[in-house]
Formats: sequence, structure tokens, C-alpha cells
Amino acid sequence: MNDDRDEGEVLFLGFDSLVPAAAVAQRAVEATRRLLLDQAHSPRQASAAVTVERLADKSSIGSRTSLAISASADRAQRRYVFRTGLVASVGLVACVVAYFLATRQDRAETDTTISVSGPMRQPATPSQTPKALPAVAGGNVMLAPWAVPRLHAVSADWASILIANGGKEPVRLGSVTREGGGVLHVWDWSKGTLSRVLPDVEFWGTETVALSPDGKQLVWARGDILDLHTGEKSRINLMDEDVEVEDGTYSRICDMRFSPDGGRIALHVMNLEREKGIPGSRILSDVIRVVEFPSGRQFCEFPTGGDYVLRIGFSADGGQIAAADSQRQILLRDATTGNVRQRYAPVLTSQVMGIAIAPNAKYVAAMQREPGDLFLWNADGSQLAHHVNREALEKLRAVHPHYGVIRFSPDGRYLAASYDRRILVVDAATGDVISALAAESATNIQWSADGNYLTLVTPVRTGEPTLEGRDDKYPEVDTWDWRTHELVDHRGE
Amino acid sequence: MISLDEPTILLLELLDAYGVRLHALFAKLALRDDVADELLQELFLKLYQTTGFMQASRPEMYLFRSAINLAFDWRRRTQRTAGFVPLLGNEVGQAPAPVDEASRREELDRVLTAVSALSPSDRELVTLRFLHGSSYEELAELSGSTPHRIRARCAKAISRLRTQLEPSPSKELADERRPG
Repeated sequence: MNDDRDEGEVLFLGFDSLVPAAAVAQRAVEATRRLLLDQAHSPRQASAAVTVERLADKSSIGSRTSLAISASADRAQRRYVFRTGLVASVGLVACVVAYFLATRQDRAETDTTISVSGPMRQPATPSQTPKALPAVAGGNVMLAPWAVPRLHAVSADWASILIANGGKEPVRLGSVTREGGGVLHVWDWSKGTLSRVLPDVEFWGTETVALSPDGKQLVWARGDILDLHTGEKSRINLMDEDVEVEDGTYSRICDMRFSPDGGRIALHVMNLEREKGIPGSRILSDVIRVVEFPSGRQFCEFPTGGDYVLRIGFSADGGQIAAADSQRQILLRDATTGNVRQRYAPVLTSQVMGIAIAPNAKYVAAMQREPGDLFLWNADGSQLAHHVNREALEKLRAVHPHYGVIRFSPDGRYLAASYDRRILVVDAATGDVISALAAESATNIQWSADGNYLTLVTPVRTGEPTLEGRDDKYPEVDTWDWRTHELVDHRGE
Repeated sequence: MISLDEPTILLLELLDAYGVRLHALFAKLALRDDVADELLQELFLKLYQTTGFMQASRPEMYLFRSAINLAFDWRRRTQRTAGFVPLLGNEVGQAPAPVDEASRREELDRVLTAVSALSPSDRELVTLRFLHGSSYEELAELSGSTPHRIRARCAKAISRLRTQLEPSPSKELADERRPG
């Protein structure tokens, strides 16, 4: 080791401790990817369009491994030269095809029997190019138009409960804030839109938490349990939630989800290690661990699909769990032993966004990122029962399944799926899309007990940055009659 | 299926390959996780809007150079307006005692301020070598130089940083003479 290197390293000692956890970085990369893909649909596009299904897929090894700059530099250069040639050669053909597709979509919309515009909302419009921020010297302006939200919200799967971070004063659903805050707010939207503040509970929203399906208990990855009604606190041992890597302590549990009966929690656990010469921690492996709640007893552990996100579906009694393997094949497992009970074909080709098991245990469904198509299997058979494919989705303008939310109705007859400004309802028996609500995207979909209504929780919205700051908006809750497309209830401002 | 144009394809590939490492670099240069998130988005948004990287002989070098410039621009802006902003809402690691933490971050901030005063090429070199962790060989290949020259430039830059970070004798003297 030479002297100047030693001296430099000593000078910069301490910076490595600032490297965020791998999960944090992955989330930031994913947010940037979404931003780019959103931009890709702005009017600047398509000097010559190229179909790149794989590029919208998150599974590229680049974000998972430490690539040497020098090695990939030549590859990138070669790719650039190759693509430039390819684009030039297919440019004319692409224009003709684009024109044909555009006119075909218009014809298809005329032919479809499904109404794609609800009575309360306008049909989706293409995303607009963001306005560039004015260059103001010394201005206190946030940098990115789609900056990371200051607000973070979680809603219960089966109850009208939503939590988020906020300040010391109660706030209404749908209200805007420039401050965010580190105090826990709880809403019961069946009773009103004003939050109940728990001033003694620190909550920034960036912590990994799970809300019980009945909305009564909030569980932190660090093992704290808070009864949201009584304020009573207790603990659960989620086992090895932190890992020591050199000079830092990293949370290994990066996501968690309750089973519908509230008796189990699925944990997404990452094994991290710092690789010599590479800044930051590296993900060695990640697993899904199922533990009993509230005892913390470990039931089983099995590999994930490798996409660094927790995409699972529990059966109604929590006894079965569906998840993807490393090849993106959906597997149905015993949630106690982890043993595989059923394998479903075909293997998905893009990142798995959502998985659900019907309450009557008759169907298993999955959604993949690109093009957002839905797969429905009979739970006891390995062959595909129905596939809502790209063509059907394009007719309905159902694209970008940002949040991967899919949910069966209580009787298991219907499947609801969230897309960008579209909520689809699929008849599980036939595979037909029987409703396409022109509603906002949803981070949670709840069915009414009779299956007639859908309650949708909208995501936190980040506002446009201005000289005065940026207004972020709390979620709103809308209830729709999905058959008539009537908005029957709105909880928000 | 999504139809994307060439710049977007290349940007997505660069994001896949270097996104995590760029995020780590931003976190070090901004001393804040949340700003690292925003800078990463801002960087790729700017590249998307300008597409200058498409003409670069080494797109990844263009990417890191843009990232370093963006981060130091951000530092200059925030120092003019708000001064040092402590880290809030960091979900990484154990939290040291507040006073120790503030002191440590102020020290890191001083180092970064000194780095920002270097010439653009030295600033880039020091950042890539000591904050990003690139090897001399990688830097030599990227800049079309030799590892030996890169090593020498780094040594000189570190020496300049040391000089800047040492309190000046006149200031020390003034401090000693100050009453009270």
C-alpha cells in the first residue's frame, strides 16, 4: 500500500459510514427508473422506437453486482454503435408500424364493449413533460420534480385504517404539506377524514412496518408492536433483524406483510456484506421468512424471486403462501413448512408485481411489470387458466402497474388490479375484463363484503416544486361501484 | 411492452449498472440520504433532457462527471442559502450521540468544501478515487492516462487538500489574541 493512498484514505475516513443501506439505494434506483419510464411516454419520444421489454425489467444484473467501469465501458460503446445502426435501418419501418398501431388502437377503442371512462373522472391522458425548474441562484428549490415523498402511508388490508407520518397537528386525508413530519397519524376513514395524532410515537414513514389486516396493530421491523387503539406497546422477536457490516448496522428486514388472518407475517430478509474495494453494502442473498404473530416463532424460510421486493400472496387462513422463485415461476407453498405444493406455468418473463390467492382458494393470480399482464391459474392445477394479455390491456389503456396491487373479491369470483389511472376487474371464471374504472392508481384495493364496491387508497402525491417549497399530498380514499362506474364515496379534500 | 428510444435505453442500462453506486456517491457528497435520492433522479432527468451523453465516447464517464458536478453544484447552492443541514430521517445504521454526530458531519463537510475548491479535474479525480473507490487503473483507462500519472495527480491533490484543511497560522494567531 502506497503512502499517498494511505493519506487519502485517512482524509476520507468516515465517508463510508454514510453509504445508505442497499435496500434504500435500490428504492432510489427504482424510483429513478419509474421517472425515466414516465418520461419515455412524453412527447419527446420515438425518433425510432425499439421494443425493449427486457429493459423495463428490473432484473438487470447491473444493479445487483458491482460492475467494473472499464469492463462495461467497451460494452456500452459497442451497444451504442450497434443500436445506432439498427435504428437507422429500421427507422422507416418503425414509423410505418407506429402509424399502423396508432390507428389500430383507435379502431379497437371504438369496438370494445367495455366503458373505460367512469362518470366522475376523465379518461387517462398521456403524462406531460415536466416543466424545467427555473435556475434561481440561491433559491431554496427542491431539485427533482418527482422528488422522494416526504410522506409515507400504509393502509390496512381489510380495515378502514391508514397511517402516515406528519406533524403535531391533525391533518385531513388529501391535504397537502410542505413539512412532512416524524409523528404517527392514524385515520379511520369510515369515521372521518381527520387524523388522530399519536404525539409520543415517532414515525417518519421510512421505517419498515406492517399494519395488521384489522388495522389494530402496527409492527416495526425492529420488533416493536403498537396497539393503535390503546397505545399499548409490546415486542416481537423477528430474529436477526440487523446485521453488523464493518462500521454500520443495517436493517435486514426491508419489507413485511401480514397474512389475512393476522396470524403470520412474511418478512423480506436481506443478507448484506461489504465487499472489499466496493463502497457500500452488497446484497448476497434475500429470503422470505414466515413467522407467527405475535409469538415470533419462525415457520419457514425460502428464497425470493430475486427482485428485492416482497411480492407474495397469502391464503385467507394464512396456511399457504404464493411467491415467485428465482426463475419467476409462481410457486404455492405451505406457509408452515415452506414445502412447494404447486408450480404454475408459464414462467413469468418480467418482474413479478403482485400475487394473490383467492379467498375460496380456487385461484392464484399474478401480475408482471411489463406489460402488466395478468395470469390466473386454478390453484390445484399447474396450467394457466386465463391470461389477460398485452392486447387486452392496451385496448383498455391499462399500463404501468406501479404498485402491483391485485386483490380477489371476498367470494373469489373477481380479481381487481391497479394500473396507472385504471382499475380493472376480471371475472376469474372466464378471464374476461368486465370493468375498467378510470380511477387513480391505488396502493390498496379493498372489496366490500358483498363484492359490489371497491375502495381504493390513492398513493401519496408529490407536488410541483416551487420557490416556496413543494406540496406533498396525503392519500385519499375513494369508493366505487365498479359495475356502474359511480364514485359513491370520496374521503379527501 | 414499452417502446423506448435510444437515449432512454442507454440511460436505463447505465442506471442498472451504476445506479446503486451513484446513489452511494451522492449520499457521501450531500451527507444526506434524502438528497441522494433526489440527486439521482435529477441526474438522470437532466441526462434524459439533454442527451449529451449519447455523443460521449465513454457514457459512463460522462455519467460520473455529471454526477460529481451536480453534487458539488448542489453543495454550493445549499451553502449559500442554508448552510450545513444535519442529516434527518436517516434509516441507516445506529445513531451516534447527537453532539458527536454533528461534529463528525461538520468535519466531513469541511473535507468536501476543500474538495470543491480543487480544480474541476482534480476534484473529479479525488472524488472518484477516494469517495467512489475507483482504482488507479480504472481511472487511468477512463481518462486516457497512466496509473502512475493518476497516482501522482492524486498525491498532489491530497497534499493541496491537507494544506487547505490545516488552520492558517494567521487565523490561529488571531484566535489566540482575541480577548475572552
